[in-house]
Parts: sequence; C-alpha cells; structure tokens
Amino acid sequence: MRASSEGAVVLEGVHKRFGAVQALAGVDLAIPQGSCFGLVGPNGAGKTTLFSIISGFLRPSAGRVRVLGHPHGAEDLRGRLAVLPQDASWRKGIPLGRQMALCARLQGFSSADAPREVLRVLALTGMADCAGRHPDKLSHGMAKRVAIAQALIGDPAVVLLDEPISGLDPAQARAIRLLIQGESGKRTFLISSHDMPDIEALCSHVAIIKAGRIVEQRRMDELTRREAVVVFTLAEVPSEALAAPFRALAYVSAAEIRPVERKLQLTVRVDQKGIDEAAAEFIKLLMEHKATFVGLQKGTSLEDAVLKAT
Amino acid sequence: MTLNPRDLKILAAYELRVLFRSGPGMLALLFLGMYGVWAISKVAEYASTLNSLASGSLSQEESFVMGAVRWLADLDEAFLQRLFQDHSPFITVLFMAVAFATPLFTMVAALDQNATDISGKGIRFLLPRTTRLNLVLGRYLGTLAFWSTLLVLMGVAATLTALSLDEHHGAALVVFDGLWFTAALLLLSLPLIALMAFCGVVTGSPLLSATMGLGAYLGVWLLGGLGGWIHDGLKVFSYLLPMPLRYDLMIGTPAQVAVAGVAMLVYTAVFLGAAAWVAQKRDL
Repeated sequence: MRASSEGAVVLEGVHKRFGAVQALAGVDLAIPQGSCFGLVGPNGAGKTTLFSIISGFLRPSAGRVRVLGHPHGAEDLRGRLAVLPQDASWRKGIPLGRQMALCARLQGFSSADAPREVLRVLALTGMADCAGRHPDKLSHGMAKRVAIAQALIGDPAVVLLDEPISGLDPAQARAIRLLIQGESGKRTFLISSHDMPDIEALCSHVAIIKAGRIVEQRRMDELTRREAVVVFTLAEVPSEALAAPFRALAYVSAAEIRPVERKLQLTVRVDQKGIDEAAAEFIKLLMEHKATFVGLQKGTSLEDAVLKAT
Repeated sequence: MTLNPRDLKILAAYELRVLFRSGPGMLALLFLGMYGVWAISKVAEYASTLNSLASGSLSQEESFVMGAVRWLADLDEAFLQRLFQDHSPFITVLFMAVAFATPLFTMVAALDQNATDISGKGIRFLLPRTTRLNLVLGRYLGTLAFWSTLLVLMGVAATLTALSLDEHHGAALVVFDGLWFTAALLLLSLPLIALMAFCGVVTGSPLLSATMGLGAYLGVWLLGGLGGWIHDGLKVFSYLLPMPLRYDLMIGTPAQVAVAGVAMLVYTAVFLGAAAWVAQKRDL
C-alpha cells in the first residue's frame, strides 16, 4: 500500500525504533484534505508513536513526513497545524490564559489579539472562565478541554487530536464530539483513539495499525460495509424459529441468533441486494413476528473490523 | 531549522517574565543578592586597607599579607599594580568575589530553560507553532535578559559602593570600572547559560540538568584545578569550561581581556550550537 503524494498529511516509509524495539516498521499513510481521519489499533501497535511523529514530537528513524506538503518546522506551516498532545502538562505557576496567549502569539496573533483569541477558543470548549486559573487547579476533564481549546487557536488547516474524548464525562464528551463534528469539513482532523464508537461516528476515513504497520486504510463506509450484514440487537429473547424466515429469503445467505456481550443479536448476511433495502425488509419481517429490537447496524462495526484486522 | 526574530523576541520576553516568578529564578536572585550584600559589606569593612592598597602605601602588616597573597596566587608585581592601582580596588575586589561565585548562581538561574517543559511534555504545545531552534535560542535570550538584569543591578551597587569609598580614583574611572565589571560578568554568563541550555535539552529533566551542569563544573574544577597541582598536564582540562579565564576579563592585560572575551563567545557558540543540534535531533 503506497501513500498518495497528495493529502493533508503524507507519510512515506516511516520507521521508528526505540533501542531494540521497532515501534513503526514502514508506515505509508495519506490523510485526505478535509477528511476526519481515525487512527485505531490495539495497545502497543504504534498508534501514539505514529501520532507523535505526524505531530513532529518524535523524529522518524527513517522515512518522510509531509504536512500540507511541508516538513515540520517549515515557515509555511505556521498556524496551519494544531495538535492536542496526550499527557502534556502546562507549566506550573503561570495562568493558563497567559500560556495559551504565548501559543497564539507564536501563531502570529498580535499581543492585543492573542488574549481575545484565547477567550474565544476557551469558550468553544466551555472553559471561558479558566483563563486566569493555574494548570494545577484543573480536573483531568477540564485540563483536556483546555488542551483541546489550544488546538483550535487561529484557523488551523490540520488538527491532530490524541484521545480527545477519553477522561471526559458524558456531557463533556458529547460537547467535544459536537465541536469536532461542527469543525469537520472546514479542516482536516486526525483522531487517535481507543474509542471505536466515537471514531466510527466522527470519522470519514480510518487507518488500522498493527505491530507498527498500517494494515487497513480506507473510507469508513468502505470498511464497515465491506461485509453485507445487517445486525439487530434484540430487546427480548425471541422464539427459536425467528431466524428461519430470514434464511428463507432468496438474497440471504445466513441468519443466526447469538448472544454478544449479554445481548442477543440477530445477524443476517445478505447476498445480491443492497443492505439498506434488505434492512427495511428485515424490519417488516421482525414486526410480523412481533420481535422488537433496540439496535440496528448495517455492515460490520468498526470495532469488529478492527478486531478482525488485528 | 529556521530562525524567526519575532518568535525569538516573544519567547525571550515570556521567559524573562516567567523567571521572575519561577523557583530557579528566585533562588538565583536570592543567592546573588545575599552574596552581593555580603561582599559589599566586607569591602566597606576593609575600606581603609583597600585605599592603602590603591595608594601603594601599605602598613608593615598589610605588606606581609599582600606578599603572602602574591606567593600563594603566583601573582607578579605588575599584576598587583593593575589590580589595585590602575583599577578601583573596590570594584576589583567585588568583581573577583562575584566572579568567583557567580558561575554557580548563573547555572541555578539557567537550569530550567527547557528541561521541565520536556519532562512534562508541555513543549508539545509549542512545537507545532515554532521551530526547535527558536525555542532553544528564545529561552536562552530570555534567561540571559533575566540574569543580565540582576548583574546590572549588582554592577550599579558595586559602582555606588566604590564611588562612596574610593579615595584615590576619580569618579570617571570608578564608573568606567563599574561598567567594565558588569560587562565582564555578562560575558562570563554567556557560556554558562548556554551550557545549561545544553544540559536541559540533553537530560530533559530539571534535576538531571542541574546535576549535569554543576557536576561538569565541579568535575572540571577537580580535574583541572586539583589535578593540575598533581600534574601540570591536567591543567588543560580546566579549559573545558570558561572558568579559568574569568578573572582575565577584567584584570588581565588588554591582550588577555581580548582573548578571554573571544573565548567566552567561542564557548557560547559551542554550547549553544550543541544545544540546538541536540534539540533538533532528539524526540521531544
């Protein structure tokens, strides 16, 4: 899989070695302009290393990284690349507003405009009243939201977010998801996360990394709809015969009911028919058999795709 | 690896403000302040002796002490004359006292230019916004501005002390010596702050940075200084750091002053170049 030379972020043959450990072994990746790109994989696969190399924090042992066609540190990249780093701490003893104003100043804002810009981005993440606070006075969730805010300073073309939702309470997580969705399309996002439902909901493209290599890199719908299956999560235990009418359909190759994580799922595999059309007919069939369902998924979930790929 | 003057100015101004509130900055201020007050009080206490030295008319007891000093420090008559008669002896003694201790204070003030930011990964908030070279140089300049402010204050205090106590030199010479005193200490600080910039980016930890910097200082002193007593050849190691040249900056011959001044710039370029190179190459 060779990365295209076009794209907001392009990696070619990137290797990274930490002593005896080969963290990345020849990564080729192309993140399309304007996409929301998910980076997923199991622990130790090289996700954080890859993210850090794209961000310019780590130096690749070999290979080439280009962001908007430029290497890290290029003057043309100033203010166009923004990063939410994982586990980065602000300097103690200095109010957050002042530290973020330094970020804004380095992005080109004047000394008069920088504080205003800081307040604007803090307001985007619901942290407008935190400008005068010191970093050690913030909870984990608040610190995360401040860190996300700093990544939105100015008008970056590429925003890299490492675990943007982790550690947030449900309301905060929803607010950040909505914020990212609102900004999607205006800029290119790269999101590295363990949270598959979030990545699936937010991202238009995804790459799966395993043992330091990209094993899948596709549009999200190509990945999740590669298998033509419709999965119903059932509300109650159905009669054993429920799968039979599905199997009887000409365009169904298999149908089975099985427990998955304390829920019952009816999985129907479709041949020679679009799954949207098939799903509509399956719903009618379920209603005819008085079976209720609480979840419907067309195609495989990202989680299943990742488990399969890794 | 581009250098941006605007970024340098922003980073230096920010670092200057931070140092006036930071632990290392306050510690260095406290050390230098206390030491300076002590040195000035001692000079004031021995004002009559220093005035005698300046006039060349020493009592028998003072002549004996000076003879012992010449023998111990291996100083010649011409050097002593330059020391106490060609310069204001008050400025000279204060310079020697401050120049003796100031490397340690400078290194304390400069130990955390990037170290905490690397260990806490806070530097990652800045890396997408400026170059590594700008970060190293900008913070170096900020630290230098901070330390220069303290040295200028020390220079003003030394000059005012000398003006009020010196009975044998005119005000113009005392002020000139005061300026020279300040400039010499500033020149000495350039490589020391650069050395700590290097230690900070190599270790990425304020504690290790301090250990490495002060360890180098003590190690070189032991090897070149004490070792030099055992074997002359070991003296060469003391020139790994600029400390042996510090007194030349003010009380050497013009040629020695020039050599020491150029050497300070060379040491600075080497340490700062090494810091920038490591920052460019390492993971942050």
